[in-house]
Amino acid sequence: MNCAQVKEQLIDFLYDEMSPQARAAFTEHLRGCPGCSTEVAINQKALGHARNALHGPLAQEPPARIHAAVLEAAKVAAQAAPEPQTGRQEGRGFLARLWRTPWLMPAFGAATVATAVFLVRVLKNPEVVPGQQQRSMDERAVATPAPVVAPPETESAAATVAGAERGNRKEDLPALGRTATPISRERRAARTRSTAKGEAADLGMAHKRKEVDFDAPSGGLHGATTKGGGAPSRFAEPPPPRHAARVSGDVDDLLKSADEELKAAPAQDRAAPKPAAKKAPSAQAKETRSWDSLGGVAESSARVNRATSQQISDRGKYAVPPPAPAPASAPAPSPSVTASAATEPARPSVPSYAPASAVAQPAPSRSAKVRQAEPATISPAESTPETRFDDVMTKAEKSKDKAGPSLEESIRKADRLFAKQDWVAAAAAYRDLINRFPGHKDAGKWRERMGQSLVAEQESRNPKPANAAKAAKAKAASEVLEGGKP
Amino acid sequence: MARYQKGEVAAFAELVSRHEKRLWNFVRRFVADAATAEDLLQEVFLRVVRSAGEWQPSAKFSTWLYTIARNLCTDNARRRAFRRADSLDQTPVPARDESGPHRIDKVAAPNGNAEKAAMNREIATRVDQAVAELPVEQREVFLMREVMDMSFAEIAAATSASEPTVKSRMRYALERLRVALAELRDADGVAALGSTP
Repeated sequence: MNCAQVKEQLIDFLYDEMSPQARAAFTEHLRGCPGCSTEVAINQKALGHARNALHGPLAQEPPARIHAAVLEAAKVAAQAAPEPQTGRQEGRGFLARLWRTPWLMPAFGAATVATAVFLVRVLKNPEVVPGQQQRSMDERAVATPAPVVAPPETESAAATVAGAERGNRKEDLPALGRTATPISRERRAARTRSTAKGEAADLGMAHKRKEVDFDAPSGGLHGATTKGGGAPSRFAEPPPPRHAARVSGDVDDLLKSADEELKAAPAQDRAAPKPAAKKAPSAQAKETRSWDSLGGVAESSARVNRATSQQISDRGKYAVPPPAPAPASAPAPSPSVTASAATEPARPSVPSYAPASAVAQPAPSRSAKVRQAEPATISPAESTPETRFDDVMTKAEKSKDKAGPSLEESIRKADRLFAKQDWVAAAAAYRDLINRFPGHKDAGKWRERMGQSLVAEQESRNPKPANAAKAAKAKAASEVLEGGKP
Repeated sequence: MARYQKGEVAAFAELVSRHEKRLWNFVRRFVADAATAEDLLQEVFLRVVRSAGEWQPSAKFSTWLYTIARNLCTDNARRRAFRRADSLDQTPVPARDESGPHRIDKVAAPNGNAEKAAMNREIATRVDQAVAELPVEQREVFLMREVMDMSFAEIAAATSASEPTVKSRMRYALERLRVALAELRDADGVAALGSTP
């Protein structure tokens, strides 16, 4: 501690408001510092004198008259107050002051009127609480369930109605989407019933709600309602659940058409033109069919989308004009082309290089694919969707195992057709190769030759002087190719 | 005070008896004018009577009372400083060399030692004079501490100042007092307080 600190803490030292440690340090400094010691001693003595003067015998007494006057004033004040003021009475005084405030009475009156109006409205119509008037009748019906015991028919009818409504909300899209994986009608119906029952049990007042929502004029759903569980005969013919009908109808339609097409498939296969070439309908076609059957309807629809986009890109790539009617001299469609078109129905693809007849051929329907995938070996009468699906799978596996034409064989065939200037067949063959072996090292060459074939085909149909040179060039190229690749 | 709030006038009388002497010494030394001091003392108690309903039992009555007194005295001191005019009726402040009779002279020495009593009177006169000459801020702090026995924290609360500020004012007031009493000699003939360093 230094002298400045001693000066700062002088008052604390004189009035003994220092901590013991600080006081010890202060005293220690005073022992070694005569100046500070003298300073502190002088201040102590001055303070002592002041205290003696202020508190000593010289201290003055207040005038007596002041004492009397003050007491008189206090007495008057106490008498003037109506009640002695205590803590509790002070609260009463506060209330009294509050009552005297000018704005309190109007505010209190307004609040009273508002409360009265509220109570009158509530008592008049206890069910309708202001602020909840916008609540729908449905919510009220659910909120105040009535003890209605419906007979089983009634319950099922209500459940059906509830299920139908639920189907509108949730089941529509899944039902349509699941057509790719057929589910038995019984299973779907059971699911529908269970969900409908669950919903009816949850809501409890579904039938009553229907009664409120769909009253007689609309007919439809009113038949499925009841009052107090009575008149079960009204549910003799409950309306079929909409989504259930849609689902079952969808599956039925699918199965029916598939069965019909399965029956008709062999005859159509026989009626199909035999491949003029040595190769039979080709394991490729079978493989494609198998793929289609494995993929199912949903896959085929996706493939249609892909094929459409492929067609668009092909058209943009080769800038081929729309197919003209086939001239009489045009070569007959190659069986391979036909087979390819038949085996790839998803490509309405109408490969623009195909002959007009092939182009005009409509894309096979979804059921046609099923027909192609499933030979009519299973009687529709004795088959269920599951068994048919299993059979399709088995056959697809079998057909998958069968080996198609080898790569070399296909390449040789395509090159031969190209050399023969059978442009349509060559283009089809190269396209087949590209489709089968898209990652092959010669895929670029195949694509090029396919383009050349298409160009040559177009030029042969519409001979132009400008294109003659190209045709000759293509011919020369093919000759060279033929010579190089025997 | 709580009893007076319930209507006991006797309780208020007890309060007055307990605090009036300190308050008188404080006010009297603060304003240095007996008549003004009497008016101020009466006003302090009247304010207590008028504001009795506002007092909360949680508050210390002495602090509340002394704060009222301090505010009144401060306001009066400011008014006087503004006027800067002495009343013709006012008793002149005794100068250091004035030898006229003072009220302090009417008080007999308790120990009968005339010389020492005279010294005490002299010291008291000097102390009164020095206190009267202190600045208002230092005066109020010194009187509240020495006359009313308020702690520095209570003084700080009453004067709305920080405690270090209050201590600083106290230190300056003490230095002035020491200067005022420097030339006094105690009964032993030794310089009472010595000279200022």
